[in-house]
Amino acid sequence: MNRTLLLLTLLAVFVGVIVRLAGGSGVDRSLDALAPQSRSVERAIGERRFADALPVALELQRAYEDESLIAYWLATIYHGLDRPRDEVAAWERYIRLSSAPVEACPNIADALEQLGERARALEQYQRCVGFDPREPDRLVDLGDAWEREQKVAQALATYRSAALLDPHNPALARRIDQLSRRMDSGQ
Amino acid sequence: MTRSRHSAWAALRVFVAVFCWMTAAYAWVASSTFASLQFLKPRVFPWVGVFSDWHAFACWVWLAFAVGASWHDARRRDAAARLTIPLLIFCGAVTMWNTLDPVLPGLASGTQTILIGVLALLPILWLAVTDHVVAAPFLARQSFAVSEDTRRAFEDRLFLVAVTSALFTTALYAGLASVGLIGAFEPDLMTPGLASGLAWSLVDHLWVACAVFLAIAGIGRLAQGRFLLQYVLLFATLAMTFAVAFQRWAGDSIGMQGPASTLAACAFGVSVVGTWTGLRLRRFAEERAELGSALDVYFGPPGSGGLTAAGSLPIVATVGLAYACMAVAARADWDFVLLKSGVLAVWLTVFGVVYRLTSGRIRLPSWLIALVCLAPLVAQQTIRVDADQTRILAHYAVYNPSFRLAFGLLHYVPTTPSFDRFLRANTGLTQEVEPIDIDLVSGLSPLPKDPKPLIFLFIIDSLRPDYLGSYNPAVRFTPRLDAFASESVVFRNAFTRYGGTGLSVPAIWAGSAIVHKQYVQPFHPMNTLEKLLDANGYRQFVGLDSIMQELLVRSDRIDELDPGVATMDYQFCSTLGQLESKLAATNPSVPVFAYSLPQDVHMSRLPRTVETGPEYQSFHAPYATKVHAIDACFGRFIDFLKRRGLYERSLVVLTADHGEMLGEDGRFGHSYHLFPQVIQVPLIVHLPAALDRVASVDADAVSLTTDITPTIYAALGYSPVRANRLMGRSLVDADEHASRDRRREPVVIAASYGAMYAVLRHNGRRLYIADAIKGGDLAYERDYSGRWTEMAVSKGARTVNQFIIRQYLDEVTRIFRVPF
Repeated sequence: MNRTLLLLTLLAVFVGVIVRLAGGSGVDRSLDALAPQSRSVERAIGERRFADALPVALELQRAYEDESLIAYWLATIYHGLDRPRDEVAAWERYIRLSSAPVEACPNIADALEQLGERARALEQYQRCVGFDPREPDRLVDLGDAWEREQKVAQALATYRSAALLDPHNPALARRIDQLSRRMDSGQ
Repeated sequence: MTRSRHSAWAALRVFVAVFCWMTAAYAWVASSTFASLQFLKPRVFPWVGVFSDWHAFACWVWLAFAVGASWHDARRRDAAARLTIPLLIFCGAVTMWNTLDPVLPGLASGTQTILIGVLALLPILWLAVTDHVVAAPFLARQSFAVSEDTRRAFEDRLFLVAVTSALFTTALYAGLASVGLIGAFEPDLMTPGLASGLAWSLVDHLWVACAVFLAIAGIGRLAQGRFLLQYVLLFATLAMTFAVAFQRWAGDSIGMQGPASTLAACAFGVSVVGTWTGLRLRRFAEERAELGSALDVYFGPPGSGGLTAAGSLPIVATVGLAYACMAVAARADWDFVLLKSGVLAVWLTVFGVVYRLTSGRIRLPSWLIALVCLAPLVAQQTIRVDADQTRILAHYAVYNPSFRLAFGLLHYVPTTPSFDRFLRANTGLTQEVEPIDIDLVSGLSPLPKDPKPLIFLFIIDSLRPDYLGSYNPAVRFTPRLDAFASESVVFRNAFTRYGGTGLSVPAIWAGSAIVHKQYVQPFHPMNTLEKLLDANGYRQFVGLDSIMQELLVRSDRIDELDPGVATMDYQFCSTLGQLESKLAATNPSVPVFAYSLPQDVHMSRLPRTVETGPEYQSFHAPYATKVHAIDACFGRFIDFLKRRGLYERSLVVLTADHGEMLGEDGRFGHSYHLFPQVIQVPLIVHLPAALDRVASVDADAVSLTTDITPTIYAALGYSPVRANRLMGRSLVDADEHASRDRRREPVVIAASYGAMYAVLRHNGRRLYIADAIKGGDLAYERDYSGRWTEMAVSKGARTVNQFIIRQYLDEVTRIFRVPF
């Protein structure tokens, strides 16, 4: 075996691995969130100039179809523009694209509530609990939804589940107490 | 020169070099605004201040040593003298200048100070050049592996040295890790965990060793028998290694960036390798040694090949060095700089010892070299480390610093480099920023009601909530603080806005998150607490520490606590004693405000040895002892207020500017990182009786240190307005809506001294940390018992959290009108 060739080959392999290590995993390469266009969207959102942000965000979405961040921006923009139907669609898209779908919660369900689609909203609240079962806020949201539907038993059970995860929440304790008394009095 | 005279000369040269390195290090620390304000100015380490005070005098001693070390060269009649004489004139001029106008005490932060640090290395670089000029004929005489056979022999020996060094280092640190684990409660590091740690340690050490072997062998092949070329390439490679290590471990940690920082790193690397090789070359030249390769310049020619009793001494010394480095780093370190430097020194020493003990007689087949080199590479690239395994390895790295270094080198992946650059650009701003007006109440006018409450704001530097009985039932050493807490509101979910005093304290006074700059001057337009006190004619008893001197406008109303006491020597008991005297001498109708930032539990002030009683079991005893001492003094102060009938009309706030790492994952301190233990603080508020009866509070919702000033406004009867999301909000009289917002709004927390940001969400149950100093991120989840668990960071969570941080920084830029 030619020793020089062997050493050069091994060296090349090591250098290749080192370059790969130093170059990053490339997770941020699909969309440069710090490119001028992206920054203009984010700045406009921060300044609540949602109408300015929308066309740029839509243009970026066409260029980067699989980018969950753009769906997140669009949902935020539509919420700011009071367009709940578009907001729901954007959140759905975000949920499909992101590995952290819980970030769409409870906004997607809230937007459906705003549209008056309470049954779908309730489904979304339940779906949100499934996204992050350890998060008591999602259970509180679901409990609230059950309560709005006058399903006191379900609401109480859901609040109790939330209280197990967040035992130091006085508002939650008060709510459980009130509902328990309502249940006891047969209302 | 005889051997003993050479040793004496070498000792002089080492002294000269060490003094230059210390001077440069001081300048580089001073070049960083935060490090200058938080470490040098308050004299966190007193000996550093002494070094600065006496530097001008010590410079004369250094000059004498430099003259002594160069005398021989100055008297030669060759090129060495032509270099040495100007050097001595230069050193003399610099010493004279430094005497007339001492440089170190007057250093200001900025690029110029970095360059002064580089200048401090000039004498060592000059001496190294002289050494090489003197040794040039010797170097020219040497030859390296002219034939293919000798080249292969060199490579075989080198390979053997590299692999043996890796095996020895793995075994050495595995042994030290086992010693460190004795008595430690580490369920992750039972036999399977240890085996996994040891296996990965072996893989990573072999990986590094093979890379070193290939680099040196590659240089050898490139040099093609030319000794000088091999020497130059090795020099450049080593100097670059030291430069990169300097930048990554020290420069990045204190925010040294840009071309000046790169120059400093290169100067450091070249000065270390230049001094090392210069001393060795001079000796070899005098001994007219015959070197087999340029590597011999660094580590010496091979010995006889057998391991004798005398030859085993360096091995024992290496073990001692490894242990000593770990012991020193455990006492005081900065982001593992000492620990990693110690490991690097051990790696080089082990390599050197093995190199000298190995003869060139052994021949190895090429296939074996290929196999051994590829094995760790394949293992590292193919074996997937899941979240559980990562946690176990992270725990193992706490006890095995060599593994920590190797693992960090090979498994570190900068996740989002562009985001890291964005964070760094928005952190530790050096450009001028004009102050803005921050007002919690528009048209602030004095309160009509009298008597006004007394206000006491005690910020215990680095106090952790889980060392107080009111937060942690296992604590048995804070009875007085617990009694005070029982008469107060204990905000159980409190966090600092900044993980370091430098920005945490100004943000508390501003009642708002502020621009990442130390400091916007004048600070008064942003100082909402000072405005409140001035508007209401409060007499102010204030500890004017190094930060408060930057924040407050001096006025007759301010009566200094702890006058003449260095900031780091502020002790709570002494401060409270003075405060009692001042209160006793003050007309009770005069509204009084008192503020202090006691340093009792600061890491640099903890005792080395303590009596460990049963009450301190499962706690960090040196820290717990100091908390215990604070407790007694604070209790006496509350008794004093009660005796004088002041307690019922007092607003007493006891909190901390940040928490502290007390050995979790081997980390101590708070300055350079954000972890749950660093950002959680105690917040106990005793409200005046009149307010306490009517106030509604949600003590379990997230509360921030920036909420303290708005709460004080509310306690005095104002209605503070939160004009933007950076500002704090009152924690009293909160309606259900405000409480819900506190529980659900994300909060961005920043480190004071570096580009590290955290997002706290879900009422403080989820924490995402972006580390732009090292690159990468972390996530934690807290259960209802308060225990934090590290979680894997999904891409989706990273995307959203980074968006939240960018939104926060955009808001800071907009509100503070930061020029970019």
